Amino acid sequence: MKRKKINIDDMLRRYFAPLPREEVEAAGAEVLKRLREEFPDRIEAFSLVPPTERKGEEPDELMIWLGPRDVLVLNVLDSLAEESMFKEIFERVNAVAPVRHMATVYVALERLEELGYIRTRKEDQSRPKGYYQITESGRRAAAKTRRRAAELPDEAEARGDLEGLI
Amino acid sequence: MLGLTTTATTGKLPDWVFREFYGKHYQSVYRAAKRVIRNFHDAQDIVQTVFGRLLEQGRLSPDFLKNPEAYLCQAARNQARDLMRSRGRRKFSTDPLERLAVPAPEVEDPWMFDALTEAMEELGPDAAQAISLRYSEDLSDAEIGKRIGRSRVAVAMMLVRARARLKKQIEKRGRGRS
Repeated sequence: MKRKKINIDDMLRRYFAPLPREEVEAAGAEVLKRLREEFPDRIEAFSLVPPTERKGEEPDELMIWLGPRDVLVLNVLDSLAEESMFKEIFERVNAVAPVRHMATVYVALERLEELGYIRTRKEDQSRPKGYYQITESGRRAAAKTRRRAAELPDEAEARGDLEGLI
Repeated sequence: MLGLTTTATTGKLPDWVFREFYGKHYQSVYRAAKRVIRNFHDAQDIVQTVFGRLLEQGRLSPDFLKNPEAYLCQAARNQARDLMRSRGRRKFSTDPLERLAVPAPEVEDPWMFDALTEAMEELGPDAAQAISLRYSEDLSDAEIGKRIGRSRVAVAMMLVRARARLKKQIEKRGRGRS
């Protein structure tokens, strides 16, 4: 008997058919309510609305949406006084926490730029190389990441990679 | 990466750790659980378990910090599979009847769904996340790369390999059935 051919792309599209947004948000709110009941001392006022959609928020609030790699790159840029080229940033990141691919750092730089934490300048638009510099809100966010790390008691481990930068 | 450890007084992670990860990832974690368990209430329970454990944890592992979203989704998928398996094993239940009346999952081809769920187990967390982001959120290679911290080319390669692996697993399962 001839075996039916598998169309994996089609199968995946059906398997990952999008779930209704209302359902996902309702589930998130319900679980948050239950976790508040289970851990009343740990979870107080916490909104599920991303800070970018809230009005009147301090820009630093955006920091909670950063990943560990972003935090590291942000702190590297904070430790550099002036505009820096990618090579210098990459070397400093690598010295603190080895990164396998340059793309990891590029991705973090792009995200930080989108958030307004860094600005870039290109001398030649046709070339990908440019200069990166931290903004004022970026410096505030970087300071906040370090304050948070310092809040943790096991300093050697908690500050970890950040300590080598400052 | 920034290592996180416990506060001396409570022996638990600081509260902002929860805020950071719940706000960012509850949607992906719920979707990951729902795809395996296919039930709204069970998927909610799984999300609660995963984040409850995060709150009770003393420290975050390097694997978690490498890609928190992928790690949490993997935890949700594992939890969902364990729940399904434990139900498969259970012969008798003392639950009241109304609690047992869980509506059957509405899927057009249960075999295909089971086969894919099983095949997804063979993928690593990053590859599973990349597949999920492509097919459930329709993200491009570059957008997926931003989410998981890889280049566009690396994501493209990862997706090609993951699809081939899934196909192979499903064909293997199909041969076992025929």
